[in-house]
Amino acid sequence: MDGDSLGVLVARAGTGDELAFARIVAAHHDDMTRVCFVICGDADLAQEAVQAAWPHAWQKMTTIRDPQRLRPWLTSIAVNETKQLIRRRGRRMLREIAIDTDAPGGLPASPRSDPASRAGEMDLANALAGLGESDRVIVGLRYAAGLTSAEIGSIVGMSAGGVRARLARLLDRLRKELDDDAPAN
Amino acid sequence: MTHLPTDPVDPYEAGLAGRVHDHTNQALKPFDAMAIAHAVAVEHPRRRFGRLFGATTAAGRLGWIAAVAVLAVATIGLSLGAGGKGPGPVAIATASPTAVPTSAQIPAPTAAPTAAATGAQTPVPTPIRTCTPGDLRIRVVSWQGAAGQRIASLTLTNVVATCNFPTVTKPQLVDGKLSVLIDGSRAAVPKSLTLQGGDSLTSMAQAGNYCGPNPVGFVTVAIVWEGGRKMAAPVSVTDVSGLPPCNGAGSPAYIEMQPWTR
Repeated sequence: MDGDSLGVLVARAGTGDELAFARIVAAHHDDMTRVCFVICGDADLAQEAVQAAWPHAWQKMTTIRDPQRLRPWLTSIAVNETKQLIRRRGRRMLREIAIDTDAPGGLPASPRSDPASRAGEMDLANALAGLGESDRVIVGLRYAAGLTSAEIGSIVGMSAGGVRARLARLLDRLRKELDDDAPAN
Repeated sequence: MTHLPTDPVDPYEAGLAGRVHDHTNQALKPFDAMAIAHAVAVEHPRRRFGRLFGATTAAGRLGWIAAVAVLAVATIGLSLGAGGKGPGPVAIATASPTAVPTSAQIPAPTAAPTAAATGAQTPVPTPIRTCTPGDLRIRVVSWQGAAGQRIASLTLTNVVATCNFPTVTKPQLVDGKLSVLIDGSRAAVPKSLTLQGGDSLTSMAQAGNYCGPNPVGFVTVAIVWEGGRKMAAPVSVTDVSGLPPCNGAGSPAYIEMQPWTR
C-alpha cells in the first residue's frame, strides 16, 4: 500500500468509513496479534488484546496526522492493551507446553512440525518468557511487527540509539539461549 | 510475511525474525475484518465532542479553548463586578463578543411567546443527524440476471436511533477483499428520509459490463453517502452471482441504483 492510498484510507476511516476501517483491520490484525503474543505468550490473551485495541483505534482514528505512522500507532495500542490484560489477570508468562501436538493445548501443526522444529519453538517460547516484559515488548515490536528503532523508541519512550543498544544486548542473550551459532559479524 | 526491520542492528536479526514469525503463527486465528469494523463502529461510536465541537485542526481547537477561557474569565469577572469589585474583567469579556455570545445576544425564539410569558421552557428542536454506517444494516437479498446486467435487491435497516438517510446514494460493486470493482456516480442533490430505529428501506442496484480482474471471495454492493460508506452483507461469503458479464472491454462498466424507498 503506497503512501497516497494509505493516506486516503486513513482519512476515510477517520470520517467513519467502515469499509476503509475494515481494510486497515485486514492489513494489521495478524501482525498486532503476533506482537501481543510475543509479549504475553498466550494466544487467547493476544487475540483478546487486539480485539480490545480496535475500538480505541476507531475512536482515535481522526488524531492520526501522519498516515505512515499508522502501523506503529496501531501496534502501540495493542501493546498497551496486552500489558493491561496481563496486569488485570496476573497471568504468569512461563507456561508448560505440551509435547504431544495432537493433544489440545499443544503447539498446533505448523509447516515445520518436525520434532526438531517443535523443540526450537519451545526454546524460543521459553527464551521469550525468560525476558522481562519491557524486553518482550521490544522484541515483539522489532521482530513480529518489523518496526525501526526510531518507531520502537517512540512507543517505549527511548531514543533510537537506546533501542539499538538494548536490541544488541537482547540479541546476544537470545543467541546464547537459543544456541544459535550464527556469527554476529 | 515476515517483516524485516529496515535498519538492521545485526545479521542475526533476519533469522530471529523468521523464528518469531513461525512461533507466533500459533496465535493467529481466521478473522472477518468487515465484521470487526462493523461491530466496532456500532458498539463504540465516536465521541463527537471529543474533537472540541468538530474542530479538526490545532487552530480550531485553540479557537475553542480560547473562547472557553474568555467565557470563564467573563463569568468570574461578572460575578466579581456584581460584588462591587470593579469592571475590569467585563472589558476582557467584551474583547471577543462574537466568539462567545452571551445569552442576551441570542435572539429570543419568536415561535413561543406564550410559553415565555408563562415561564415554561421553550423546547429547542434538535436537528436530526445524518445516519452513520454504525446506524445501519444493509444487505443484498438476492441477485438477478437480465440482459447482461446483474440486479441486486437491497434492504437497509436503521438499528440504532432516529437519523436522516439520503434517498439517493452512490453504489459501488465490491468484492470480499473490499476492492472496488465498479464505482458508481455520486448523486447530485439528495433528498433524505427520516428513519426511526427499526425502520427499513429497499432499493435495487444494477451493474453491467465488468471486464476487470476476478473478484476475491464474494461480490456485493457498497453504499456511499455523506455520512459514510458501508458494505451490504453479501448473499453468502462465496456468492459471486452479482458479477456482471463482460459485454465489451471498449465500453465502461457501470453500476447505478434506484432511490431508497420505504
